[in-house]
Amino acid sequence: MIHLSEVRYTYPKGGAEAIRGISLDVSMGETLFVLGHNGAGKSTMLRLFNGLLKPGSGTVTVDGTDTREVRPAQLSRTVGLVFQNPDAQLFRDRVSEEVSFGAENGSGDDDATERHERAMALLDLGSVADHNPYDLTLSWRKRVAIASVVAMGTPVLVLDEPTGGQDADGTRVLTDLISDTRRRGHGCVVVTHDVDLAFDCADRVVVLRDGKIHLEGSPMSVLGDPLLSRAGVEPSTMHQISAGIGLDPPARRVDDLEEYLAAAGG
Amino acid sequence: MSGAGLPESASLTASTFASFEEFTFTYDTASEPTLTGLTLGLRADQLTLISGPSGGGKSTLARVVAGFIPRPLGGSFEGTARVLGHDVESAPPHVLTESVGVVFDNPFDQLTAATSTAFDEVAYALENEGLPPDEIVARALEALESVGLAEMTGRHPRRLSGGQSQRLAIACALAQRKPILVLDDPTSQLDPTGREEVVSLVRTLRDAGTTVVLVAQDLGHWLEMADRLVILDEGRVTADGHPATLLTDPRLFDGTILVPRCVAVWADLRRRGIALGDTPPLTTDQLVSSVRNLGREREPTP
Amino acid sequence: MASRARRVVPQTDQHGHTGVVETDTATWSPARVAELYEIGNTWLHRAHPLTKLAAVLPLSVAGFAGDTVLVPAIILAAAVLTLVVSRLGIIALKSLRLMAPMTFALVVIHGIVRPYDSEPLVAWGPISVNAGGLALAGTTAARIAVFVIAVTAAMATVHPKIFATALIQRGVSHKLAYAYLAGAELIPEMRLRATQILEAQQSRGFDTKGSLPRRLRTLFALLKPLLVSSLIGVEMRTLALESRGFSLPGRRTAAVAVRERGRLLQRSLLLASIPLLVLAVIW
Repeated sequence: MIHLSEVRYTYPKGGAEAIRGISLDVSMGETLFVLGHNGAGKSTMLRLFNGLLKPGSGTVTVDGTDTREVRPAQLSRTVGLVFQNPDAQLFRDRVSEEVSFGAENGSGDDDATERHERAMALLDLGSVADHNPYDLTLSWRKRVAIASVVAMGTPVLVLDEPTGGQDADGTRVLTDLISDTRRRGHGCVVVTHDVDLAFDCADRVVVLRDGKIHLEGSPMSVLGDPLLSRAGVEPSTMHQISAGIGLDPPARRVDDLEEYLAAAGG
Repeated sequence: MSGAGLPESASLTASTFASFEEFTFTYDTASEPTLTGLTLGLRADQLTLISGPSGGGKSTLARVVAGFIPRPLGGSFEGTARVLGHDVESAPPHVLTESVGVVFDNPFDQLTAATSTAFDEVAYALENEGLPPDEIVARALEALESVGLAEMTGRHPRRLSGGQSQRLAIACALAQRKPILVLDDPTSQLDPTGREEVVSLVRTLRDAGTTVVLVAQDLGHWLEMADRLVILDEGRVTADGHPATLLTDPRLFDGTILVPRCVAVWADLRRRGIALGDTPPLTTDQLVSSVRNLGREREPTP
Repeated sequence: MASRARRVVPQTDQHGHTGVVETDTATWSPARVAELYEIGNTWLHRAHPLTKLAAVLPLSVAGFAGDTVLVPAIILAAAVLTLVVSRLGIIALKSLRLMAPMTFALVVIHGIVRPYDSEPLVAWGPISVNAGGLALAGTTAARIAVFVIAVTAAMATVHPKIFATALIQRGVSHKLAYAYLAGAELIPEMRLRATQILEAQQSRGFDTKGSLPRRLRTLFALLKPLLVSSLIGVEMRTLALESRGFSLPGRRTAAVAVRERGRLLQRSLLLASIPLLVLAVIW
């Protein structure tokens, strides 16, 4: 759905090249996680996905369209992108109005009302539907911002650091959202620092380092890779435990740990 | 620092610096109270970690302790809240803000936005206190050094990374020689590098005996250094105790708090009848070593 | 003129020892963020900030002498020449750039509302520009330009913090000084917020192009978050300032004081405005 080919990008104000030759595909039905420390190129890549930035060289196509040929607003019908700061986008007086704005602007298969209701339910916003978004806490405002983009029903959903500052409930809601996106056959890209979230939810993980793809593969292979630390990313908790007890292949779930301990006991 | 000191108070034990009794607080702009009948005492020389669901009252509690409630953040309340011996309602102006340093979650919005170097940012508070220039310079440099920003004195505050910016905010409080530090989710908007910088600085301060009240959603990196964990939900204390004791309570696993992965794994194994000790591991390393020990114990002996 | 306003900059020597080194205010330039401030160490940078400010008044008043463009044009030319010779041509350029739209507007306005008897030089619909109108517009523009260039030169050659310190030392409220400092930082800050908002709204379908109603809707979707997110920032900042003693009563000190000097010169400059004013009125 999104296709990057040999993409390079340098910000106009100069400085080092932010993206240094990245080729990547985001497919429908796939959940892709992007990890990497600050400055590795995550936020630049995000902006290349929906044409906010156009590649300096190489090409980015969204559903076959070269992003250089259309405006970001046009691409937003295919790629729904939510930045981490909700206050950059909320502008309606009620939560449900904010979400219906996305629904009306969207392009999904079903009608706007349906998309609105589904987004409200997915982000569990029923209890605050009539509140002013700005009367809510930051983590709730973030849920509203995400809901308004989810309501657009775009084939690809891109989330920037969605779980940052979320409580237990918010984190559960967001992991459910990611599963729902996959179930619907939509593409999902999550940019995050949360390695365990990637471990739980990703189909594929890309680790960026200095504007290049440092590692790429399944969460089980990438999130325990010895080269991970070079990109400033910690291994997942399960990989840390597995490495600590010499469990190879590493435990995927607690079941595997149980099995290991039972075997040691037996 | 103000010369107000600690007035005599019967209800105040020597080591309790803040106490709430049946404290209910409603913001002027809200219809429902944010804190409801809160009863809690916070001890000095400890790191108290406060967590709980979003909207549960954590930040409001932090703001009471920091001296922002009921002024300038308006609202009505019942019950009493005493901080450093002063009733927050009748405390003389500035007495609390002069003793309690505060760091918010947003690294950039809490800058004064009126300075063009890290040095000036720290000096600003001391200039407001009317300190002599020599002392301002000495204290500001000392504070910047102690948070590891000695090399950044001339850097524009907005050009600091998130972690550096949060350390700068802590430096301001240290330069003002504030004995109490209130940190309101100081790492929630940082990347792992920034978070690690702030976590290790707070650990150093706590080890040096600074009183810290720390509000955090993600407990992972704080549990190990916390002397006490308080869970606030719907404006009330729903759990209170040492993290290692508290996190054995299954009620906390129903979505009240974000249980760190190491604790969740420990609890999950425990439910399956695999006991890795009576107290949960507070770090992944602790979990690894207890799993390793158990594996060894169970190793069939020849 | 030797530099007197000094700035303390903490430095670390090769032994890792951190000490305090005094450097010249004018060359102290860690980060150029304040929009107007031009780093440098010219005589104008070294002059006391309030002397520069005081000089704005007599210069501006003098610009009103005579009823032709002659006097303000001479002052303007002298100012530009002085700046260029002092290697501060950039300041002249900035002032003139500020003036350009206003000058154009003046010419147009005088063309519309002042129908003079003389034959129009250019006529474009209802707007006709004639010699009289052009002369009046030119005179007004030159007078304003004198003021603009004087203020710009005064403010662009002093670090905002030094200027604020100088004001506080003369008894100006520290709150006013804060407003000045925060104002100097406001533009880059708002630009940062505006970029974030523009990106977020474009990402969910707001188009910067299209029909007028469409663009108006986009404008609203940009302005509302800008306003509200600024207000949220302001609330946090208010508390942070409170925590840093912003509203404490009592005198303010400064980590680096601006050495008091030039009071006589500053007073003289202000007093000189009176005869100049008289001259401007009778001439």
